[in-house]
Amino acid sequence: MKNVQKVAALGLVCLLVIASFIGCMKDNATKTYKVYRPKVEKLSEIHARIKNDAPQSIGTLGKICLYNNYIFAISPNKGIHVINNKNTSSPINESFINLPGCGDIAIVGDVLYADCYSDLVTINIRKMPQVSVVKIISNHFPDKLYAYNFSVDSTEAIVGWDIKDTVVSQSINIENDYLFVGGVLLSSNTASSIDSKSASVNGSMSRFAIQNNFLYTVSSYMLSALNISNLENPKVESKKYIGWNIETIYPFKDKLFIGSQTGMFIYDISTPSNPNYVTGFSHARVCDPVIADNNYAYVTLHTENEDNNANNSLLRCTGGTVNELDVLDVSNLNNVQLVKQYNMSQPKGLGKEGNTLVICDGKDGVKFYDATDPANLILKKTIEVNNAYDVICLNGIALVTTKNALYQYQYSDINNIKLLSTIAY
Amino acid sequence: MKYVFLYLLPLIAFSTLNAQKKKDKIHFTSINSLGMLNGEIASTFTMQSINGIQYKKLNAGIGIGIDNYGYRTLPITFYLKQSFLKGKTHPFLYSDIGVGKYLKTNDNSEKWPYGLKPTSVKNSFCGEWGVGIEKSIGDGCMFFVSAGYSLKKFAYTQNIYWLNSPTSNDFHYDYSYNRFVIRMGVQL
Repeated sequence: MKNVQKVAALGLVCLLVIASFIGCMKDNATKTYKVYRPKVEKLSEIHARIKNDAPQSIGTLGKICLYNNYIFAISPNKGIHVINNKNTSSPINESFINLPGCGDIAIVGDVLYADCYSDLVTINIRKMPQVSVVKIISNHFPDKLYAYNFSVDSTEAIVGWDIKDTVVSQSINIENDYLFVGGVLLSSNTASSIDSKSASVNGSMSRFAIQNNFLYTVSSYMLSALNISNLENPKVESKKYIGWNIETIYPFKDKLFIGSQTGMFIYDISTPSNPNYVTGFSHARVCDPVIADNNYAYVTLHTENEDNNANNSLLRCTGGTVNELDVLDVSNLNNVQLVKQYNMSQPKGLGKEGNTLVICDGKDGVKFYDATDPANLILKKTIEVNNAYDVICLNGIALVTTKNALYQYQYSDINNIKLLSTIAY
Repeated sequence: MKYVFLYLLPLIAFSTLNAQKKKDKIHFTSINSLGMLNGEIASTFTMQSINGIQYKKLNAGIGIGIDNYGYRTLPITFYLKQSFLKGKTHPFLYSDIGVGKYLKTNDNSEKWPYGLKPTSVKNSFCGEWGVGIEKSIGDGCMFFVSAGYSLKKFAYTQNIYWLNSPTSNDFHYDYSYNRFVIRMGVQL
């Protein structure tokens, strides 16, 4: 019996000792990651580096445009590959325009307009491969987005990153952390449209468009109209705030079709210097390249997640879970109607020429549709390529960019589509 | 429910075997407990089943359990217990160290920072040290209560691609959960 009492007393003491430490016991968590410290450079120094260079191997490919039998292919933030495409079966990588901070271009009359970080640069390319900068409009894109939402003075740009490992203590309730991610990636899909003669063919995800002697640019929230009647001396005529998360601009006749992460907006440019909002069509929060013809607009909605890795859902377009093609009747702009929705895998860039609609559908490849009846698209052919994301359709040739290569297909006979050339990178 | 079954299985098996083996110097034992883990962020249920051998007053075995604190894990541990004194009631010390295996559950998936699934989860160290009292309840069976300190580590990596970022970034998280644990159960 004495033993029991001893044991009970000992146990009680032990419990009291342990219990007294309860209040001292804290959980802890650490987070280890790489810190990207921006390398900042004066824009004036960056401008001095804009020049032609020897052809370079294509690493990462961004947006592309066609101009006078040349393919201008952007390596994001580095420059522009100039590819001679006179022989579509054997394109030649001829030269490189060193243009840091470049994501978008448009060309007309041998004058190239490009973004250079927050500036708009005008470059004469008449004597290619020699190029010369003729005008720079400073801070034309004041809402230029940098990684991790860094911002810099309008006279500077972030040109690179110093990377350093770091460890920080973290709240134990880490799952409740809030993270704000805003903006959009300067992505790279295209379709085709042009009215102005001698202007480049840009695509459905371009942020630049040329129409009626005007260059229109969109940044994440601003639409700008620049008068380019004097090609080498563009003048800003108007700037308008048009909402957040603007991604693309597509001109057709006297209208601009603007794609954002939340909808498509139509602006009237019958007065070119002063685009006016006409109507809009809202959709789920996803990425949405858009093209249009006389009566219909075609909008691809996709959830962006690189390499189809759903884990990385902080990528570019966040929040959406829709992958589809929407066909809209825009013949009456006061009453835009949804004609039909088509399920897709992960549709991105699209192009249309005549009754042929071409859609880059992510891992499914490139799809060629007979779009004679937009309410009843007929899939004629699917070409399996790795992550197709960009297409320009012109003169029966589809220029398709993918993660690893740039292809040209002849589709003038849609039942007998031929591969003309491949540029691997 | 399957974990409850796993927990009960050794109880049934050893209850039939124990009677004849308890007389041996070395014999099989099964220690089964329910308990509470109390720490900074929560008080959660836990259970454990240890199956092994007993030699005199020393027990050794392999334990498996459920740990619901923080990210739910399945601890797989090596268990040692030393009892003291003679009689029907005696104190003991125990030590329990091993690996906490991540349990893929809906509960866990809701806890990832920013709602993003990790690219990898590491099975991490877990351990428990404490004291207890056990009392014979007849036929070689013991009822016990114990209290102690429990440590659980947990680690995982998320890969996040930020808007406009030059590359994706790995975010590696390391947790150390420090808890006070109380248990009660039976040793067969």
